[in-house]
Amino acid sequence: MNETASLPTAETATETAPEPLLSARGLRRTYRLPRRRLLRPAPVRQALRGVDLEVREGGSLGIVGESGAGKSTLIRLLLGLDRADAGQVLYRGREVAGGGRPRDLAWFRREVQFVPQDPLGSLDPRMRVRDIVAEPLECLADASTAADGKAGRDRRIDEVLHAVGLDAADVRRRYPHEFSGGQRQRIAIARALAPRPRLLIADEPVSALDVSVRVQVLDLLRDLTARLGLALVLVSHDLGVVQLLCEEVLVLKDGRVEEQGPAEAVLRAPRSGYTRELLASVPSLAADPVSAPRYGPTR
Amino acid sequence: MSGILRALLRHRSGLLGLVLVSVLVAAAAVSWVWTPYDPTTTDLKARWVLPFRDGHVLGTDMLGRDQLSLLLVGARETLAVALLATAIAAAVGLLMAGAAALAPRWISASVVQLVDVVIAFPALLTAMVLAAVFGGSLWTAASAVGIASGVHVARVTRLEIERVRGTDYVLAATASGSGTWRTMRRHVLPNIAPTLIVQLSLVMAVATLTEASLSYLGYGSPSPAVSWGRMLHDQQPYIEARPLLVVWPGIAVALTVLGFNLLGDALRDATDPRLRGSGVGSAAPGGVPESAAEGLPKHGSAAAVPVAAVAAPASAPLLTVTDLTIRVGARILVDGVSLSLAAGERLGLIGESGSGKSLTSLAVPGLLPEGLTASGSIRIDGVELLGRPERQLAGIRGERVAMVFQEPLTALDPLWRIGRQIAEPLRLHRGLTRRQADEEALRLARRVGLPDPEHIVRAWPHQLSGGQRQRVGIAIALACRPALLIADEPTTALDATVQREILALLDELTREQGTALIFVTHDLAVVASVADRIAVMRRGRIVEHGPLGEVLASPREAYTRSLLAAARATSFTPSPASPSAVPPIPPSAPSAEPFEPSLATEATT
Amino acid sequence: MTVFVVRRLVLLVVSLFAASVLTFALLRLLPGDAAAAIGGITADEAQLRAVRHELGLDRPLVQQYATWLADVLSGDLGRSQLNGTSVTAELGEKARVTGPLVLGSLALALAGAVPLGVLAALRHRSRVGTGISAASQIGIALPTLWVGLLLVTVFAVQNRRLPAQGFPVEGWAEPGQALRSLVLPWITLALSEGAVLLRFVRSATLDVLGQDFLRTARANGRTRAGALWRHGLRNASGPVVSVLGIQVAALLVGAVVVEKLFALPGAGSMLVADVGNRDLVKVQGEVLVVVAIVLAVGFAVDVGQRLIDPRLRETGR
Repeated sequence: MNETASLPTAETATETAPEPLLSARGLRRTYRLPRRRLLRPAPVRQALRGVDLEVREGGSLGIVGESGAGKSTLIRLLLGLDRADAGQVLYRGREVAGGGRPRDLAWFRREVQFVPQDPLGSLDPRMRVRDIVAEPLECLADASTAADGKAGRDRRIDEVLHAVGLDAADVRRRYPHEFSGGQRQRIAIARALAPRPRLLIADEPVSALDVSVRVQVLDLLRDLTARLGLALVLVSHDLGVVQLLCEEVLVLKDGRVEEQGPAEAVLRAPRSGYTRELLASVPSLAADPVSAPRYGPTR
Repeated sequence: MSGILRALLRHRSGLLGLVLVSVLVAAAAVSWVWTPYDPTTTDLKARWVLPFRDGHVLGTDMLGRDQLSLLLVGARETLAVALLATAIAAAVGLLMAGAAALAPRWISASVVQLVDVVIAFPALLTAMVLAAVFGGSLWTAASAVGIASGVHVARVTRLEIERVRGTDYVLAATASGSGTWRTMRRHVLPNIAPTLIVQLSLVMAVATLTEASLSYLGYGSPSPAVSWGRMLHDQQPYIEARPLLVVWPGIAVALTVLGFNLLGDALRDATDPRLRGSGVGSAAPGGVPESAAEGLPKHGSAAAVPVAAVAAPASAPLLTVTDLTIRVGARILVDGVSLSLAAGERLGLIGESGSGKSLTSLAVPGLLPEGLTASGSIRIDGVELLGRPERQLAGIRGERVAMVFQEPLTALDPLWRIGRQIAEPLRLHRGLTRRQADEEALRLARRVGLPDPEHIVRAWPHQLSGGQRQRVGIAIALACRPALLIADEPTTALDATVQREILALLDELTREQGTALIFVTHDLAVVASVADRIAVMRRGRIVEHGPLGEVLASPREAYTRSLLAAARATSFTPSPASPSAVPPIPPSAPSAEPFEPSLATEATT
Repeated sequence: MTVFVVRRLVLLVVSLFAASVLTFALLRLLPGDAAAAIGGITADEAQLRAVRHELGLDRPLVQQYATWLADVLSGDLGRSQLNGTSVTAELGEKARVTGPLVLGSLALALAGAVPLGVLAALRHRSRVGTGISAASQIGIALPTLWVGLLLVTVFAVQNRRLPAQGFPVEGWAEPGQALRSLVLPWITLALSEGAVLLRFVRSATLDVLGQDFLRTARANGRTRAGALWRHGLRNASGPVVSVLGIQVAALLVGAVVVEKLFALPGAGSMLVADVGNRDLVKVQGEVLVVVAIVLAVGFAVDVGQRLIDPRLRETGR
């Protein structure tokens, strides 16, 4: 009797909290700084001091923080580009061991792709758009896609270029410098979409763009993740962007999670004092004169 | 490949380099099958023949040897040493750089150390030592130059590999699943190739010069071989009688070296897709888009706001800009901008990249980048500034008109202490002594809320945080209590919490000193907190202008409306709008992609 | 800063040690028989053995090296195989010519290259700027020895103002004569050095001209030239100083050629003669001294960089 009674509860539990797609537990990362004094040990900087997070299938998590909060380090760890000093990153329950041989992570990269911040810097200036978008396809080819061969690859390239709103026939043979900022970011998104990932990790994807272009790229990201059912991890200093795209929010400060929860709850009724200060600092479009009180010399 | 060749031919000095090197190669090749005379046969009856006599185009020397024939044959030696040395240098350089970049830490550290030691052995010295042991030859010369240059190549290449491996595109490639070797092959090698080309062309030049010196000193290839350096050596004793004879081999060496250098530089440019093709020379300075001036309506059309509308009411204006037009060459970047500002007034200048907002603000104190010209009129206190000599403008800058810039780190001199920088305008305009200036700097540092001011005036810019640096920027700008402060995106590079503090500080100090403010930004939300009036710029013109509340509440221009909509869509609102509530961008919105209209597309489905 | 200086000093000592090993190896380990080289082709086996014994070549290499290093550390670079003169003493004597030659031409090269390089950068769009650049490009291509020959032709042969060759036998006891005989060598060496330096000064200045802080200085009330003078030049000096470190090696090598060309009794002529005589002990000592100078200058340059730039001081490397 006891057994049967407990079963439904277990089922409902798995329904409400399905196995997370990507999760991190107790991530720590410390960097050694150059030695300053001869006889003292080299100073260290603790970039991450124990970070936990979870992203569900199709979910979206916004990571918010100011410079020095540890956002870049966290991204590198989540992408398996660096090894954590402690803690682990799990994808579908399997450990993502960063810092090892790239081929060992091919299974992970087929499912998790990256949209970097600087749309010009992240595209090799000596590569044509076609080759840039083909890169993950070439590197991550497995038994199922290898059969498609070059023709299949070309078809996929055209497909993703079209998906991000570029005219494939026109742009394939061009170089990155021939495009505007927004177009470059579309190319970067196309590259990320090429291997049919399940999760996109985007690092400040619009901060380098003009306001009007920003809206277009954000719309594109939102449409794509919705249409393809992609999960999204978005790192940004911009609360507006996070509010627009993310269901969950994680506020990072000095390498620690300051606050975490559903976006609406965190942004409307923040529990942490720091989050409140962050929210209050965002300039608002309400056309009233500065009502900001004077702030002490904190920085 | 053909693209590279075409780019090379279009490059003027590259063409010259190509011709010079081709002549060298041709001379060496021809000398195998034909020379006017046998270069080694001495003919004492035909000594000292002057140029263009008896079929000796360049004359003969003391032994009656034909100079042109010697030069042709000498080209072989030069080319052989250059090619051999370059091959050795490339092998040594790439191997060592590769080891330093890819091998385990202890190996790479010792390779770097070895490079630093070997680099101290000059090529000529090594070549002489080798010649002392083995006797001089083509091989001693080439291997000495090859090894000595190889370590230079290794050092430069290692730094380049490290630079490229730190770029975002390599990071993106790794995240795309690219392995170490594939990244080296596909990204690192192509991107270090230009530096490598220049380095190897330098090795060729060094080899040519060293070979000449070695042969001159008597440590080149032994006697039957002919070389330009040996010709110089042979003719030095007769320089008094026949000075012309030392001219030919010298010119040959010089032209060869020049050819290698020019060709290397040109090849570097030709292999860069950013410089190749139609783009050569047409890149806009300062990232100003090319289309800024395209398809602009003529003056007086609805888009241009009449001066009267812009002029501040009442009291004589502090600043009057009339019909300001900024050009680079024939291209118009700012087109007929007019605005005016009364004392103590605050204007927000809004626009996206390429709108001309920054150029307009830089033009006021005469700080336009080199190559840009301004016309129209800029008056401060009724005095015309345009066309004034630099010295007079300098007298106004920092005194009547001051500026705060976007990047607080690069805007400060990294080698000057903070206090000295804060006091710079005071020393320039008020003639304070060093001591007075120090006191004043301390006072200002305190006033802008820098922590521990006594200590911080002695610090260097890199030791400060971004927010502190911008406080320093504000202290500098307001040191002489200017009548007008122009702030060009002063908070764009800062975090939100710091931005709020800096905005509050700017607001407070300008109010306190009664300073008029032009606040240049792309961010409508920021400008809303500091300005009384705003002017919206697009493609070099002011398209809308008016009191802040009015423009924000009921914008007249479609562009302003779309800008506002975009800003509202992405700006944070404490009670979040549901994503579907984002207003669509009207079709008349500026093309988001002003660079290449042909590529512009709407956001997808 | 202390961390850096200590670290760099250790590095210098390690480098000097490695350089001594390399120098030793270059002359002893190469597959050539030094004894045969010294004894000459005519020497028979007994003579060769005698030569080897005399030079200590029959002892184990490590022992040979240790003996040599111990001597070098006590300031003894060995004795000539030909006439037994002390290498240290002779080098000290010759440095009285080579030292002034190198330092003088360096000063001359800087005096020309800095103002012209800055001018070429300031006027880089105008004809003056491109003209200076082109001239330096050609100057780099001209072989030093040829420039010397042409200068001799013009100033010494054609109008006999200056001595074409040689140095007063009395040396610096006759300062006027000595100076006159150094004029052409100075110019020769300075021209090729200056052309290289000019390019670096120009590019460093161009780099600085595009920096934001120069605009800030102008916004503070400096003129374009004033901002460059007070803020720009010091910032541009960093890259130029590091090039200077590399160019010292080029200057020393240039001195070899120039001394031979003008028959100056300096260390360069000495080296050429010793190589010709296959006096390997002397060559070994001379090479070590040159390399040590280059390494020491490298050390001085690295410390100098940190004196100029506070940002470098803090990283400790």
